Amino acid sequence: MSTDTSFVTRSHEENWLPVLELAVEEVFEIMLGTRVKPVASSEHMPSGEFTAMIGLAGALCGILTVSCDAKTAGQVAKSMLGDTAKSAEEVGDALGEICNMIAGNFKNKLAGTDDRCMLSVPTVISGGEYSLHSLADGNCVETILLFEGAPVAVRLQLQS
Amino acid sequence: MTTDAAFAKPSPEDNWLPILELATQEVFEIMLSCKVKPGEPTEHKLKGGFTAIVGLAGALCGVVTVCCAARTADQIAKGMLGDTGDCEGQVEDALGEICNMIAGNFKNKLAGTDERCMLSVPTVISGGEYSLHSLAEGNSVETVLLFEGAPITVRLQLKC
Repeated sequence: MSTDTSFVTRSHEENWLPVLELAVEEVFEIMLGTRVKPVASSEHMPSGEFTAMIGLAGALCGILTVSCDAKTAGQVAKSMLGDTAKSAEEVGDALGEICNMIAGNFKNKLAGTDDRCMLSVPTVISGGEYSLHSLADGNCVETILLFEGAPVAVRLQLQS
Repeated sequence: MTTDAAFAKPSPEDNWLPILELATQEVFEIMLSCKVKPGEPTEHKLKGGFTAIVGLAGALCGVVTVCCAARTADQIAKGMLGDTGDCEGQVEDALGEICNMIAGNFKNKLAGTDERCMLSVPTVISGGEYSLHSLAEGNSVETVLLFEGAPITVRLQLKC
């Protein structure tokens, strides 16, 4: 993963979508051995049966979430941990780790942020019926990609 | 709220339960003018409802969660915002803010932590049925208290 802190300056949040997309692509390539590309959000929305989330604090304050359906979360776990990864806990661990790595890779690409922005611990929500409401009142950056043909939504919500 | 940095040291972690309890009691007293009492963990099991979560990063790394039933969350919002506080979005905002304040009050009571530990932004999960799985593999500290006779579970989960 590239860690060139001159890649982009954090003062231009409109530049953050390509940074987020690149951070996601790199993590999927390294951890899951697969190349993913962004797709149009209007055509692909994940069911959100699994949502991994992690907090950012310091120079950047907000949360990053990774959402997908249960089958896709299971495929992520198998790709990372092997065919024996079946339990909900292992699936949660795998998705949480992907979320953690995307957040870390993203914030490390922003100049001046890597040491001044820290991550909390990932939490994974699963279930058939839940909603998320973030108190982050700033910008939201989202990308959707296809993994094994199914959508995975990665969203960064920031405090203004 | 007390901010005496000599109040407690960050270890051993078995000292943290009374600090978490005090931090919670102070927030409820200040924000809701209510003295809350401890409840019995085995008697109160919540399914669904509302869960507010905020991340800690830095000297302490983990999450603080506040869980309660939907009705209790409504009462908290009304207690903070008045009779119109049960509007959509306001319940989540109120519970998220309570979680944020408990986490902030707790970490400020730990000597040497207040400036070296930062909070992310609260997120509130609501729904009929969902599970949370934290990747924090360290100690967990939990207190159950009664607000208007109903249980609220406040949990601190730390990365080791």
